[in-house]
Amino acid sequence: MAHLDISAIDRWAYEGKSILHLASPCSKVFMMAAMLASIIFTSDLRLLLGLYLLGLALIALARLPMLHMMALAAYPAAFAFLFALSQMNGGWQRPLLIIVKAQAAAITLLLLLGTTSYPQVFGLASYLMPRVLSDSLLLTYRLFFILLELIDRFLSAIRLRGGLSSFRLSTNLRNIALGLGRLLVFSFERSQRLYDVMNLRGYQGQIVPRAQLRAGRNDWLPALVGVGTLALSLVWKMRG
Amino acid sequence: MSHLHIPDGVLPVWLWLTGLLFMILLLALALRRIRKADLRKKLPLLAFAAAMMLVSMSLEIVPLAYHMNLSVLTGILLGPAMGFVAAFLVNFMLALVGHGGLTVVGLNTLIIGFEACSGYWLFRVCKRLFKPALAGGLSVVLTLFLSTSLVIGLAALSRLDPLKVSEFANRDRSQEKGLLSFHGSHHHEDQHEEEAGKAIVSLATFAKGAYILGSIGWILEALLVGFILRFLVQVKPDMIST
Repeated sequence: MAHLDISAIDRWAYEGKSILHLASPCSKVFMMAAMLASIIFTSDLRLLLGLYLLGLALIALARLPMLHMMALAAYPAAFAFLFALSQMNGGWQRPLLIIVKAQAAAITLLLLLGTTSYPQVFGLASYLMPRVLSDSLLLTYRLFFILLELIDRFLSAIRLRGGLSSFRLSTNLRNIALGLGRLLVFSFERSQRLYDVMNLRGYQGQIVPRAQLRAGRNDWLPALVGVGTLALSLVWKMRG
Repeated sequence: MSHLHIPDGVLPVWLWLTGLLFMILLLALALRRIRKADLRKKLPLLAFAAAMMLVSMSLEIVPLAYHMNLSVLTGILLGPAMGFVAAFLVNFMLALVGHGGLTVVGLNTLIIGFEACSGYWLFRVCKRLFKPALAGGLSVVLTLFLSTSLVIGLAALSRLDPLKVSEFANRDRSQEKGLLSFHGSHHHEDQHEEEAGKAIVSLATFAKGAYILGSIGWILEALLVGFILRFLVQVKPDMIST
């Protein structure tokens, strides 16, 4: 579960009280978009390193666990490394650029998610996609935790009975398949019940409330970082 | 290796933009198709399927530390249209935890969506010849081979600049030296031939690695899907409506 730590990120977003946590989701998405656009469109290693350090500084300011965040950002970068290998032209510049870009982009996204809860992000996403998709995202997010708890319990039970061993791959596969199969049956049956419940409560195709696009007094920092990053990237591009 | 764990800013803009456009188009088609069968009724099932995919991705199979994504099984159980929408939901959620970039959601959805669709159709064909468990396993191996090839194709494409490709196409055909030799002007052809050679070698190394490492994963996932299908046939056969 180390590489897909949705529950930990969710907890940090809910429990944090920093200025970034208190800023509106809209301003934080603007900041992330500005940083991401700079990362995508620049090929200057110094600027990319600067953006990565800026991300880390903001993570420190938001009092998020720095090492944990860096480890989470390093996971996709490990895959970027594989991709970087395919892009080698005999030189190391392009692979290095790919890895630094990967790190900077991952840390930027994690900064947003570590300070903004998923439902708030889905509320903003509902402006960009059909309601049915934003509703599905919210349901997926909630059901993920329910299913994760069930599978965790199942795996603990199997482990206690000696059903998961380091050296018996075939037994492990059979037992995990059994757990996932049971979970699938559970999901199939529960989905029909959930539909009945939603119908009874008058579901008319809207679960996620749309996020309000209003600025608050805590928005000055993300707005400043966003505008500053864009301006710096533009100046850098014109000079280079 | 069946999808791109690549963060933002790595792939060329034209490539991920094309991916996003194709994704939007196919997503609209898939939603239209599901709408005919009451989309609201299908919504909880869709969310459960996407959550199941996410949960399966978080499981590691010891001792190989391999993680699956169950996209083929999702396609088999839900059909191509819902499988494609589930692929989008999963990739969007993953992008929000930095597991693949936001700009890569389009390409990733196309790859995972392709797995769901291909899995559904291959399973339909294989089921006529074999038992569901074997048919499911075969569909997984074939689908993951195809999707890995798709990923390698995208890695190769990411080195191409469409503008330069059209310049290249206008050149005299006698000057064609190979797929990747279009970078640069006529004056530096020798140098660029050498660079192209290196690019092809590194891409070949990447492809070799992806196929060799991937094939272990395909077999594991095929076994797992086979076991799951055997369980479902015994416990709730109506779930496999394909």
